[in-house]
Amino acid sequence: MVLFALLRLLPGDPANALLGVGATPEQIAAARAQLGSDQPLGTQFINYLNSLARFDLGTSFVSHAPVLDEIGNRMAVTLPLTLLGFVLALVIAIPLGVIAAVKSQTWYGWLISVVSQLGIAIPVFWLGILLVTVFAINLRLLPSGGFPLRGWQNPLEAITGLLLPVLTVALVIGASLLRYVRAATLDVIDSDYIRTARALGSGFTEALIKHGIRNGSVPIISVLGIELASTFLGAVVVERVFTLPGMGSMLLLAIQQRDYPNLQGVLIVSTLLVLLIGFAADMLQRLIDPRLRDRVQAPT
Amino acid sequence: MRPVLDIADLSIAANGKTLLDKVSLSIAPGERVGLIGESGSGKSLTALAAIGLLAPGLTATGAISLDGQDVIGASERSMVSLRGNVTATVFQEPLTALDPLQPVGRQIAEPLRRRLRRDGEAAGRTDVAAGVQNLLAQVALPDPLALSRRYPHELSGGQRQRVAIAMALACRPQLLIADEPTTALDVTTQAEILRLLAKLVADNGMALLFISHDLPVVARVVDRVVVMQHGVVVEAGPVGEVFSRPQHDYTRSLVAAARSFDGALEGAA
Amino acid sequence: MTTPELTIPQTHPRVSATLWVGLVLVGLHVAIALLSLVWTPYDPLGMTGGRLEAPSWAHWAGTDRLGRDFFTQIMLGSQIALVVGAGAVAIGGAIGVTLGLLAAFASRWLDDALAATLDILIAFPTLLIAMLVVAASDEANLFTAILAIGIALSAIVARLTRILAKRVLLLDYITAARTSGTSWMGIVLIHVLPNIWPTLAVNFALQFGLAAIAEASLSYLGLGAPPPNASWGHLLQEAQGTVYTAPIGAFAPGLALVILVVGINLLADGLRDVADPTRSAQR
Repeated sequence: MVLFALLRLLPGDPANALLGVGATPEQIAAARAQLGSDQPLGTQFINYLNSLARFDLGTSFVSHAPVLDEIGNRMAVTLPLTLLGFVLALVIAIPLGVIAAVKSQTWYGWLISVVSQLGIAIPVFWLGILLVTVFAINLRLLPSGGFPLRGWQNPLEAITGLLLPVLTVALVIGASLLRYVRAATLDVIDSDYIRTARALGSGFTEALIKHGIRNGSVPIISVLGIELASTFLGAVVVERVFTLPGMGSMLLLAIQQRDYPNLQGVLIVSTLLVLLIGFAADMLQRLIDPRLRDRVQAPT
Repeated sequence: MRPVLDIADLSIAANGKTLLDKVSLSIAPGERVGLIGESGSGKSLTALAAIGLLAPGLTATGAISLDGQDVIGASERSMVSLRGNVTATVFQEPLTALDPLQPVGRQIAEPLRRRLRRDGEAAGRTDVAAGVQNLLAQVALPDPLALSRRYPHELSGGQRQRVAIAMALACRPQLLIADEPTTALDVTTQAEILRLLAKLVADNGMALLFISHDLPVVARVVDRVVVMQHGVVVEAGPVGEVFSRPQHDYTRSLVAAARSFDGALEGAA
Repeated sequence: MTTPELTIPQTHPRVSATLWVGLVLVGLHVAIALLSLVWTPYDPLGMTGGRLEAPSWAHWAGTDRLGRDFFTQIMLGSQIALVVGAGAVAIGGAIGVTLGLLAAFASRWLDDALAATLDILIAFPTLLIAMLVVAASDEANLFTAILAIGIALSAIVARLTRILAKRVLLLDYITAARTSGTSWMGIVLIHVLPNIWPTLAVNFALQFGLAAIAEASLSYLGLGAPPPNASWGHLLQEAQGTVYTAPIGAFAPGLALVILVVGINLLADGLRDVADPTRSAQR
């Protein structure tokens, strides 16, 4: 419903955008009738809910292709980009974040923290441009952008095209995750239960593995949910840098062309994904933390 | 007989500020010693230094030996073999001292399995499970089987502290360190836990270092007391002597406060 | 009450250093932006050299594809970054604090509804919300960029304000003031705002950095202020096309932006240590 309101707030008549400047008033009226934008808002809203229930997101004003098909094609780029980038970010952030916390008194622990501080200040697109400059232009190792027209029919080509974008995403998200992992690890190290375990003869590393991983992962999981959602939604910038035909560039194009069905489709699918990720993160936390499971029954 | 714990001229400083100044304290095998002082007097710091778990940034000087082995400057590896072997510790706040995400049975099993292996006893799944039930029974917890599957937040404060004591008992230490073990509990539960501790220490022939700010509490479980104030030991001696003839002003005020409190209780009764 | 003996008296040798480095970096940008109001090395629009020249004494950061001095453009970019940052934080702060206070004082269901909406909005990146706001306006210009980023930030501010305000409202003396009939406006001005102000101020500093990055991203996507307003994002977008021949163009504006954001983050960290010395020790 929020989406519906937001989209109707966009000024500019879709019929105008569709026909371009110089259309006659009759043409515009006809186009409006066809699009249903001449109907009262209430009717429009009911139509909107109706089509949502049938998973019908309409057809693009510009290409006249079904919105859902277009989204499907573009998901084939954005989903692998997001997921691979995210997994790589985890691979970077978790060990380094733990080291930065455990070895916070050493020079390399300090260095990791400083570099991650720098990492969160770097805009995604600039990092992308820098990586292109180094890997595509200076070293000539990887393509500077683009995605094979035939998509995943040639997996190797597709993967090569995604390597630099994935690395860009991973470094940016990794830097921000690292700080959360470090903070969570510091909390764990300071915790009483780790002290208890050590006081009863457990080694530090053993205590960290047996008690720290579970306890540290609870706060991290909610951050992971938010970061995964924003990686997906923030794909627009990376896709622009590397000229990838994903959800983000679809969104950008839809905004520029005032292609409402496409814009609405991207937003609906994105919102669903965000909610789904949030729900999954919530479930995962409940699985780990018995206190969260019990809270529903007995709010104490 | 060689003392279990021997602290000589222990000083602790942080950022140039002295927190503990030349504290000396010795505990013989089987002896029960109370360490008394208000919060901030350095008593918990002394206990943590004894087991080599001072927070980073704190520097300790002087000499500490556990069962004859040096603690200050010792490697983490040799400390790990002393902790849980020579000493075991029960901390003040049982809610945070236990891992909130593990059933208590598994938390008792962890030090128990370590001790069984150390002593060369069978440490299979059933041996450990039986040991856990036995320990839960020793700390007088009802229905051990069901209880071992519950999480710390599902237990009462007293039950949690009994679990923490069971974990310490699982180590079969020569010296049990109890750091304000009853402070977080209500008065009735306090008395129960004190009785339990006194009984377990006697039954197992352990030495006890009992830390508290509460003079009457300490007096019920120890033979000898050491009184601390502002990081310095101000008085030490057998319980009866210190109580009847306190030498230091601070001790006198503690004794007077305890007496008036008792008096108020008796007057009300 | 866990063993108070353990709280180690912390002195912070690094705290003031963090604050100072942050101040110097941000101050540098402010100085350059002010200087560029009255003086730049060259006319920003004039062809002052060959096309895509490499850096030299005459052109510190080389020239762009139209032969304009690149350093001049970067200097002017400071203005945009600072104006958008300050403007967006002002707008986001005003809307966010108002909404957050409203939610904190509102009836149960209104508060719940607002909180749930904010929680969902938080999941959307600032940039995406800003993009949609820009899309909703007729044309992209400097003001829509400020407004869009401001609105996007307001959700974050509102959420924080609500949480902080609710915490303050639970304090005993506030309850006393409320029952004694002090108006809610009075409570806000006398009790709530002074209490939550330090935390909000630190957060505003961090949002300033976020806003600067969001502005550059919007401009990079072609949704920011249109040329000839030399936003760093726009400069980078243009330079990306000529990165083969003149890589410096794709480097310098980004560096300027990163220095600004790092400076602001350090400043925020330093401010937090001043505002709340107890919880900062290790973060």
